[in-house]
Amino acid sequence: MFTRFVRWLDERMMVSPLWRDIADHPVPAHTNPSERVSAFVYCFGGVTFLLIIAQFVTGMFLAMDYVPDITNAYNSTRYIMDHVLFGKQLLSMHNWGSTLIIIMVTLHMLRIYWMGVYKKPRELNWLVGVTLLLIILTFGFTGYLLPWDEKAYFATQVGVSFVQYVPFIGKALFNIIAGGNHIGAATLSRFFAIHVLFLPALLLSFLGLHFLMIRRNGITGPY
Amino acid sequence: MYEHDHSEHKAKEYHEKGVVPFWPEHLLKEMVVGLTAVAALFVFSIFVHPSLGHIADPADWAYVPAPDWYFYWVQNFFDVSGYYWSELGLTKYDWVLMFLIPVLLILALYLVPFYDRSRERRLLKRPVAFGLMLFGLTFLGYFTANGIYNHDYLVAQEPITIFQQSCASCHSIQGLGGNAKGVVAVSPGHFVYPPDLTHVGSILSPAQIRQQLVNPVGGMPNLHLPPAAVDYMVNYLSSLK
Ligand code: HEC
Ligand code: HEM
Repeated sequence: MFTRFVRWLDERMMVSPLWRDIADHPVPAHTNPSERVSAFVYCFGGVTFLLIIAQFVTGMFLAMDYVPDITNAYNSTRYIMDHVLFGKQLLSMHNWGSTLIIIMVTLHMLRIYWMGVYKKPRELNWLVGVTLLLIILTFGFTGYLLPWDEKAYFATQVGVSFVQYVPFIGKALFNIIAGGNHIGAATLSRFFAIHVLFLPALLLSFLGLHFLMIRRNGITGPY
Repeated sequence: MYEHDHSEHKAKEYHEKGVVPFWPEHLLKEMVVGLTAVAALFVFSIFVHPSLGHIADPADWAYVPAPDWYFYWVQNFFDVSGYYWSELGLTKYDWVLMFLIPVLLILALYLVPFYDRSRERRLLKRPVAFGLMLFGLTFLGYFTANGIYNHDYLVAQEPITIFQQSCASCHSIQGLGGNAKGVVAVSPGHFVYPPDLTHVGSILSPAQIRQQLVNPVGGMPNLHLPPAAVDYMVNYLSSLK
């Protein structure tokens, strides 16, 4: 049954070679936690990726009820917590998920560092990796504003005030990011767009590069 | 028949090379680890929920800003270094501290593979890289801990400052502040004495204290404290047992 379906598909778009290429490509056995328990350090990147997918899913559901304007951002967050089916659970997962991702990304990066993985030929992937780290941190920073409570507002005020110190263009940059000369309605809708549209697009592009390079270089062998 | 031979042949070849196919041998096992993490997140989220404070109020002068936990070190690093920076009279060059140094730090992180170019990969044989890693981790740990400590200190300090500025003209706590002459309440010559608040926490419940601050009765003026100030005052006063 399944074989026939695959044959039907292959006659139309030839998926088998693609799939065989992905499924059969060799991965060193020493990176597998069931071969050696200490190999769990090789899982940090994969775990981060899975958590990112979970974050996409919970985020999409939250976006169904969240409204990014200065009165409704707070009220809709309240509404999600108190009235939406499983809303509190969703919000909670999205919130703790971000914390877990930060921890996992740090552990992943530490492994790359202490095992000296970034050396030739993987220098480029380190550059992509640091960019991924910055993207993840920006996700955290922009997401923190969205509930629009006092914690969110004042932390963003402190954070965004940093760009004022950029020489020459500091003031202009502040105006672009905050959408005016103070944190307000425009900041909220900008941060929302950055958090749910710009950053996911950037993240997926850089993850694509990251995975492509891992595939090209292979996982680093033992010392 | 051919298919079967082929995969058996491949399995042998993979085994000799010490590799496994990506699917299912590798990914499936790695997914077990990943799904365990997601499941743990799911269960944890059932029991522990994030809190939502008061709606944002730009006019709330009392609120002590708090970043998300992984940014405490940034805030604290600039608090501490900014203090010494201005002690040294360098405020004119603030952009060096607030812009140049962060940019150089990020650049330094980006360029790690370009200055650590030896073929040696073992950490203990890369003393400089090892030292930098320990320094970085200590740096993050120190400023995170210091940032949390500093935030808690400011939150604890806030109600004491508010008390001295807005309440001590009438009330006293442990003999400090207070107005022995009382405030005029109803008719001329009739005085109400603002009570001593030293033990107010064992006399009134937190809810009653909040009520008195938001909607004062008995001659106490409404001080129109912003929401964060009310929260801090209620916490502080109800701790005075
Ligand atoms: C103009 C003087 C005045 C100021 C300023 C003032 N209060 Fe009062 N407060 C009073 C008076 C008078 C009462 C007693 C009301 C009564 O007897 O019902 C009182 C009662 C209270 C009580 C109830 C105490 C009890 O034991 O019943 C609390 C709590 C309190 N004040 C807190 C504060 C705080 C906190 C501030 C500063 C933010 C403040 N007050 C500022 C005059 C003042
Ligand atoms: C969004 C966050 C990230 C995800 C989802 C991710 C994912 C992955 C995955 C799944 C692997 C395969 C091996 C493993 O899991 O260890 C990997 C490898 C790698 N990652 Fe990441 N990564 C992220 C961030 C980073 C960062 C911040 C760095 C470093 C600055 C980095 C550098 C590398 C390098 C150099 C490799 C090659 C490993 C090797 O050859 O052994 N990655 N990444």
